[in-house]
Amino acid sequence: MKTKILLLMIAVIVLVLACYSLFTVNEKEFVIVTRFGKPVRTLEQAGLYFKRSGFLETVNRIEKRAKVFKTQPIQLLLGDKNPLIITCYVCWKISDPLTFLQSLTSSDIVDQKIGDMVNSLLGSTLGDYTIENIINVRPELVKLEEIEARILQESEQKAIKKYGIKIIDVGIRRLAYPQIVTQSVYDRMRAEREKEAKRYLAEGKEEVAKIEAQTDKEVAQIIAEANKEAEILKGQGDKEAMGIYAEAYKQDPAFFEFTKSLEACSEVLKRKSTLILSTESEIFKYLKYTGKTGE
Amino acid sequence: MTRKEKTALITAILNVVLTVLKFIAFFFTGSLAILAEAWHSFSDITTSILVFISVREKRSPPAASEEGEGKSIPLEYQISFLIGLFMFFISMLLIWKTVTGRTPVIENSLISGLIFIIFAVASYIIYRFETSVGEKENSIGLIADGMHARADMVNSLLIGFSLVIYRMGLNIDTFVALIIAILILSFSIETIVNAVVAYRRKEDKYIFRYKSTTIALSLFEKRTWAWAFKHLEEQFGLRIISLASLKKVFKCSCGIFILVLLSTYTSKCIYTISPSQEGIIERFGSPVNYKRAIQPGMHFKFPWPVDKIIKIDSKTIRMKSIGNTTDEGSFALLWTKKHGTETAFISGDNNFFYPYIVIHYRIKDVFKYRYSHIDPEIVLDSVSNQVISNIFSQKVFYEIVTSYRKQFETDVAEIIQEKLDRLNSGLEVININMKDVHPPIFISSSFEEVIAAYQKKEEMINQAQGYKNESMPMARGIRAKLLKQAESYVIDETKRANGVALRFIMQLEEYRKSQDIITKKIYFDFVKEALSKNQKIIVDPSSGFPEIWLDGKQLFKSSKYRWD
Repeated sequence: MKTKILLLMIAVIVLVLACYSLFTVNEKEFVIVTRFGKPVRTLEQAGLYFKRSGFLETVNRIEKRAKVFKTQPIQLLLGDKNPLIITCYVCWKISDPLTFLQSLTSSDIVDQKIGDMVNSLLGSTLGDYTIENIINVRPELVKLEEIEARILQESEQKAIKKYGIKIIDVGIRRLAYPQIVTQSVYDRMRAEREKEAKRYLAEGKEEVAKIEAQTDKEVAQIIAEANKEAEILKGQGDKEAMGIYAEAYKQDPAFFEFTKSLEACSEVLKRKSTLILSTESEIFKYLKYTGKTGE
Repeated sequence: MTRKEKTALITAILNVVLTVLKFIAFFFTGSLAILAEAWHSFSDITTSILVFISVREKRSPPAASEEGEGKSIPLEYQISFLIGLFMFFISMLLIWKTVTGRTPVIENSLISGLIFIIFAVASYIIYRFETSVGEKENSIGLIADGMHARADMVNSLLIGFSLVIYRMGLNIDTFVALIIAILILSFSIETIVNAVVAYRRKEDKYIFRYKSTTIALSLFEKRTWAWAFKHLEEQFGLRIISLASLKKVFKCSCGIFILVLLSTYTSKCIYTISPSQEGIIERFGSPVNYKRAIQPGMHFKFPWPVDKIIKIDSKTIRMKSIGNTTDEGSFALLWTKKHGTETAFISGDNNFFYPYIVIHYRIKDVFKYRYSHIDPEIVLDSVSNQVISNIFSQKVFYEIVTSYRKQFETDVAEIIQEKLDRLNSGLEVININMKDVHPPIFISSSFEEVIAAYQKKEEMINQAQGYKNESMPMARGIRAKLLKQAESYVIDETKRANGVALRFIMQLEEYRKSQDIITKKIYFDFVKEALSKNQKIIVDPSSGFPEIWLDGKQLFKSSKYRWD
């Protein structure tokens, strides 16, 4: 009985010891085993592990995955004295867990320190560039990628030694202008819009003038053309009429002259006119009648 | 007050002080072991008080013989039974806390560790004091309490030690707390059992007859159970069939219990993955099915603690908004109204504008998604913001709003995907929608004025076109009219000419027949016609020129139709 109980107790103790000395390493993390604070082993492979001296060793879990954080937005002066507010992101991960553990930092403190470093590098790097290299409609002049690459390279060299971390990527995620510049940009945008509106109105007037002139011209042309044709037609008519007249009149030009002149005279005398006639005129031949008719 | 009484009282007071101090220490450190120890000291107070009572009662002669009848339970037993129960629950709570709770972070560990070593010394002094007095006065109660104080000393030393080595980087706090909790448990069981036994045997003195070890061992002895059943039968009249059959029932229920436990455990081996998910198996923290995620359906795994299944919603399409983080989706997106919390972007020609871009994405590779980034969504957010602001800073605003829009969506999707792959995010961009782009709200009226001006331009052109459309048919009408007039003129002229000519020829025929007469007739007809209407002045030349003829000669000269 007593041996059974003893065995049971031993089994329990062994189980408890096993629970305390076995541990797993997840794929997401590094593990550094320390004995009284002194690093003994670094485990990078995931799996089941055994603490060799049981209780005396401590398991420190350190994140293996990469982390992305946003830096504090910072106002900087470019090489051409233009101010610009830039926000970056930084992607980093722990590459040397031991150094990271020994530098006794947490991931948030690292964020802050890298953020400060990146911002100071931004300041020094952007001094070599102008606003034309950042905001420009000509893509061949824009050098954002070059700036990002330079900052990545320089910050990487600094970070790995100090904190045991590797900076994977640095990027500019937001560009903005300071308040005063913003206001002037707004004013300029408004002026540009007004300019644009005026241009449209002027273009409209131009177009209208063109269309109206063209129309007037075409109308005049049509009417002139019509007049010309009408005149030609009339001329032809006249010609025909004259031919007919000539054909008839030339049979007796004297008679024609006589009738035509009388016709003309009667036409003339239709209007109110005063005639002064001599009593010796032919028509009054018989006014002073002498008794004999004729000659 | 006798020396024994004094001793008992002093130890009780000392224990109260120690308990209070330990609770305060817990408040400052947060160590579970200290909490357990504080409760342990609390139980010590009760023992000390009990000892005090028993010592006093010994002095006074046994009061009445009725007490021995067992009609009324002595106060001492009642109190110790209740306190035993109370401590039992406290110890259970503490054990639960140490087993399930997280390892606590201990503050001020070094100084509290040193304090606990001082406590241990204090406990040692109590132990020496009580035992010496107990031996002199021959009090078993005091000696027992002294032994208890020695056990306390061990506890305090243990805690002090654990706190000091915590400082050195080794955390055994929960372990120590567990040990102390078990000590409290054994104490409470001791108290209950002894109180009950003492009452049953009608003892006038409360002593600790059974230690917890003997109680635990007696559970495994047949004698104890036989006695318990016999006693139950006698006392309460319960009919229990027999010890042997009870044993069978017990074994059976044990078997069922183990079976149920085992089956629930093995049922954890089977798991299902729903159609929108993919799974990863972590065996001791390391992914087993690398390169190939577990597809939907029913699957088998090893139970805890070997395998752990992680299900990830990889097929669900997720959304990420850029530029506008709050969109109620209920009102129309107008240029004149703020859409939500918006972020301004700068275009290549230095204009501010507010885009509203929605990215649809899903998880492409669950392994990368889980193991390469702490938060892949933040990666997507950062990368897409970077790419979009970069592209916008190279384009003209009006292009972004109009012609570049379609191209933008495909361009951005491509670049973001490339960056996401480079960063091993395991995400896939499905498409990018530029829902809206608008200029700053307080300038939008200027933008609308431009559009109004454009409309005005169109209106003016249309009016001009209208004038043209009106003038041309009018001109054509005039033309037609002119031509018709000419035609009618021609007809008129020729017909008249025909008529006139015919008339002339006919007149001529008659004229030729009698030339003189006709001439005269025509002439006189004419004269009659011409002279009848007009005013006439007839002058006889023989009577000389009248005075009115001032300009007569001239008149005659200019006149075409002179008579002579």
